[in-house]
Amino acid sequence: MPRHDDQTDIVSVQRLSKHFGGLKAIDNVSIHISRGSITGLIGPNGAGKTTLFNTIAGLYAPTFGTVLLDGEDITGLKPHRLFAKGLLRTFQIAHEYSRMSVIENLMMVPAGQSGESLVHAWFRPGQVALEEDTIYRKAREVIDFLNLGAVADELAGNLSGGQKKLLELGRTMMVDARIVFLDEVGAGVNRTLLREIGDAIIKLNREKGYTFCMIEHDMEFIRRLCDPVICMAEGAVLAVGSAEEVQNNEEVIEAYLGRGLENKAGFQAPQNRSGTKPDRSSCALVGEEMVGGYAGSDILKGCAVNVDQGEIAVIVGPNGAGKSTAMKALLGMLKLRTGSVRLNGEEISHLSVQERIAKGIAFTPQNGNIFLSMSVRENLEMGAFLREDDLDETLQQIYQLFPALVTIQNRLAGELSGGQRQQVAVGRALMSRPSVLLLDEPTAGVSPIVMDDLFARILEVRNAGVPVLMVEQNARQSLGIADIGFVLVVGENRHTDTGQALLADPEVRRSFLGG
Amino acid sequence: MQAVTDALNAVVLLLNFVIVPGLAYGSQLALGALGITLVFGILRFANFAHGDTMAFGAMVTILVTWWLQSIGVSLGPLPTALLALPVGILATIVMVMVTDKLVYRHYRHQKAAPVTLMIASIGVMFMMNGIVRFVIGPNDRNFLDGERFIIRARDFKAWTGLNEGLSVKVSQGLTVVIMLVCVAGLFWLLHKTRTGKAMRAYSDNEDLALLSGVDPDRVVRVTWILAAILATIAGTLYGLDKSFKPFTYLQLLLPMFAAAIVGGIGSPIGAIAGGYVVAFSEVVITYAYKKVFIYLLPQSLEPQGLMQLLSTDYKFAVSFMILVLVLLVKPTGIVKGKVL
Repeated sequence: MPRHDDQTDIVSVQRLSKHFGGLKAIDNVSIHISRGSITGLIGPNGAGKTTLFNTIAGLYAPTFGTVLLDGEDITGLKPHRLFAKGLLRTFQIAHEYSRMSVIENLMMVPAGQSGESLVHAWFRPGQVALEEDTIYRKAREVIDFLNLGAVADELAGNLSGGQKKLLELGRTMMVDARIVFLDEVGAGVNRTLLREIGDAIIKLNREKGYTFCMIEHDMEFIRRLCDPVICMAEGAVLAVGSAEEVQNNEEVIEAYLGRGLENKAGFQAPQNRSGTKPDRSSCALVGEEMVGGYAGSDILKGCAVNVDQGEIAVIVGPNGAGKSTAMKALLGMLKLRTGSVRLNGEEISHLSVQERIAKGIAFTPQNGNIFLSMSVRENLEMGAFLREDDLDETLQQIYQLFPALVTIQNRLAGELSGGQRQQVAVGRALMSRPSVLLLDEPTAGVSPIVMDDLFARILEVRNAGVPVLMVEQNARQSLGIADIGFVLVVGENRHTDTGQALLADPEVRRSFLGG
Repeated sequence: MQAVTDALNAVVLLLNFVIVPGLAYGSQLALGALGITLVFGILRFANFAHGDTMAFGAMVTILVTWWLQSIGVSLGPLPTALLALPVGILATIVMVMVTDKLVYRHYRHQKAAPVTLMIASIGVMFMMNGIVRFVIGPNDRNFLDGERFIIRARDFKAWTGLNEGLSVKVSQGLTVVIMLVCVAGLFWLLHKTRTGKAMRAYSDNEDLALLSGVDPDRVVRVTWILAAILATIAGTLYGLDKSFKPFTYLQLLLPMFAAAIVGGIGSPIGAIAGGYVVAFSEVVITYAYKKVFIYLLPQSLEPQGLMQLLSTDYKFAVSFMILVLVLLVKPTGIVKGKVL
């Protein structure tokens, strides 16, 4: 790791660790942010980026380690003290006073205004007015700087997502910031506004000498703004260098792909398959040319995903690629502007979620996928709620697929471990005897051993005759068992091939960084 | 020997003035709290109109009872009101469904915040209260007929030879029996039937219930029907036991909410436990123990005062204190419910 001269370091983090119980969210992290730089912080989900920010910015007390701001020890200081020292942070979700105008939001920022005291407000109105005038002028300057003039008197709650991000940035300009930590300013912002935000950051950096440190997933944005770039993975610093260097670093690519199998013995990779079916338009479940999104901005831009009988299909890609959105579109949770969804040849894109479920699509959401206050058996029974016939046979099949559930069938689902819950969740979905099973990140947040086991179970589900389409973070392992993989990048199909072929393709590997 | 008789007399006193009334009152509160907790668990708002729904159901039952009495129909030793109860329940179901259609459905479809629905329910409460007072008047109404007592104090004394008598009213016995039947029925429904499981699933995780194919409109409908049944029964039983006066049902709202919250709101078992906790706290704290102590203590230590912790005028303060304590110390209640 390149050491910077202490003179140029504005923030220096030394051997910082933050543990939550047994979980080492960040462990022994040392980074240096030099004055006047725009430092990028990247890494796959769960790398500890936001924890690092929160620990530096005083939201968490570090387990050990020190943070220096201009050589001064600021470890464990509360956020408002750090604010006074010029260390500011913005949040991934913009925090604005939604019922105040943009200019009022900005004028709120400077602390200790004399008008805050009733005594001053009543007995020294002149001084209060004078001070407020200065602050107002400053807020105006900021608004002009950020091109927010048109919405200056608009309620902040009515701004678009991107404008709110600009306002967040503006708030940091109302005080003399020494360093600003930006948490995913680009998340949920369209390209044009992202460019504007990028321009504003560069301008602040060049003209006002601001130092930035930013968490970001959009590699294009990172390449344009950041030098150096720090990549974190599993709570530690993996690589530091220019955007180019980090992006081509083999270790970084590996980290983004996810870890491999712990134990290959229990697995057979899909074999005896001479590629996939060439004509994908007649698969069991087909989504074609799907275009749609939320609040006017399209997340899916003509993407296609599908899965056929006897297959496991996996949707992978960088954050924000629209993986979960694509799945929601298949399920009907997202209304498509154009495109087609077909189940066994029948057009279902006009149907509601419930109607699609009745047609034979089963879905296991990433979160909230079991009934916590009901027993395991009742959870399974709920999965077959729409069925009128005898459930015993299907129950036995589920217990064969997930033998661990037999002994715990009368326990409340809320008492189970994470891995057991995931099994119950998948079992619940299978109880409806679906013609296709959709899984949204089935292995998120489970331990490596449980993850291996879950992937093995998913293989067995396919072998039992239910096609599986899943979104996964762990690209390496999921593509390892996939018959077909879809690599999505910004709402479009970047690559489609067998899982093995995708894993072997260096271009695919790089695209996980979101390039 | 005298000591044994004294002790027995003290026990009978407590049975007569604390245990029996507490059981009956607790059962009434439990039935009311069950309705509140069901609506909270599934429709996700605190239904302030529940007390006046009880009053409405009881009112219809009373009107039908009077009519039955006027044409000479009776149930012999049992109160005629039992015969009128099904009509009261039907009328209340209709009333509740109409309010849902006119008021709550609108907010539900807007996905309004629970507090909006709660305020709407306060409006409904005043409406129902007005209707009840308009129809039957604000005064005390008596509609109890048939046999009055299961055990008479006089017979008890003659039978046991004790000084103190124990009396158990028919209405008290009925209250406990009907409440047991209702609770058994409710639990059978929630745990053994498809509809009940759908309701529990919907209450637990609405999104996943929808993904499992549960029909939300049906769940809401069944919930209102159950709430109406429970409210009418609770209201009628309370009226039989005490007497019917529209205003008392407004006052009952506090102990019923206290019961639901103490037990853990959203949890049926909690509502029942909470009902008894609140009822017994009220009775135990407001009972004058003078005579009990006279029996138990030697003559020299005989108390001068009433030995009453709190005058009965303050009995609503008891439920209020319990409510505040629970919210401060254990907001999820006895059985872990949702936090309001």
